[in-house]
Amino acid sequence: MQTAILDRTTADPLKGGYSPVTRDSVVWHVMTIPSSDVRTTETDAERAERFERDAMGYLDQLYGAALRMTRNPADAEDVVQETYAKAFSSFEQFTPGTNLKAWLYRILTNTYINTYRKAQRQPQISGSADVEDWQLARAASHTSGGLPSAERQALEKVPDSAVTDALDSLSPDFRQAVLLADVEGFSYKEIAEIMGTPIGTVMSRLNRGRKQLREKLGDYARQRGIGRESDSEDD
Amino acid sequence: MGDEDQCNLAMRSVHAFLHGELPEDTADQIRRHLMACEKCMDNFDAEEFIGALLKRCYGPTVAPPTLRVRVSRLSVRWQSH
Repeated sequence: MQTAILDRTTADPLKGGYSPVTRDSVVWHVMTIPSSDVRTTETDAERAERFERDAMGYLDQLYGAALRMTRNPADAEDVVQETYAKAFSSFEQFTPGTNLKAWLYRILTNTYINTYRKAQRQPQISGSADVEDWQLARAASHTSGGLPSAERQALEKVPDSAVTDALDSLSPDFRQAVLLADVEGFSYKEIAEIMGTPIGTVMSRLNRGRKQLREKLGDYARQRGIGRESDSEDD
Repeated sequence: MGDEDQCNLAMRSVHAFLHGELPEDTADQIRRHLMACEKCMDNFDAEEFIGALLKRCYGPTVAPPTLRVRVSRLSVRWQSH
């Protein structure tokens, strides 16, 4: 948002500029102030309006993220409510024009960790699994060109419930990294900002989380005989 | 870079590649390798599919109306001044 001032004597050539504007056949010299000043000039009411205009639009996405963290709608609503309350009370500290979505997600993540994660029982943390037998077999076998691999064919038959169960069983940091990258579509840099870690840690959590997820889906498929070439002789 | 090194690079980089986080020349190097290496192509194919699975399972959510009302009360109070 820019403010137009017609008095040149207060101009700061380093921070603002002049642009001629023609209105009603008269040329006005308009000085523009950079928008980072909006916080120093707005009233409380204006800041509240700005908050509602800019932050409310993320409500659905934040609720979705909270639902995935808490896995129950009542807790998700409370987390989101608390997130917005904190965001509103510290909105003056948010630099306009920077990444508001990531800032809100950061508050959401911290609110969840501080309030809920400590109280919840930790889900069963999955240990590392060996490479599946059929993945090894796959690598060693031939394919005719163009057909999806056996793994891909098996994955296509896995129901959504198995995917969410598998993701739910990951450790919280791995799960969060996977959700932020693959569901929310944040960049690695944004995820680092949200989780408060270096980018290298983000990549490590994402790689390990996705590896565990893929192994779990493979376990699921194997246990149910999905994608096996012949299932008559081993029963 | 030998073939094994190409495969190692591809394996290490699969998620960065699929998320568009690699510099273009590295991504191109991997693309060239994928066309030549069935094992790595299958690997990328599986990971890309899992990414699509995740998006499908966790589609966009809509906040309940009660929550929307609760949250908008935060700022409305100030705006009536």
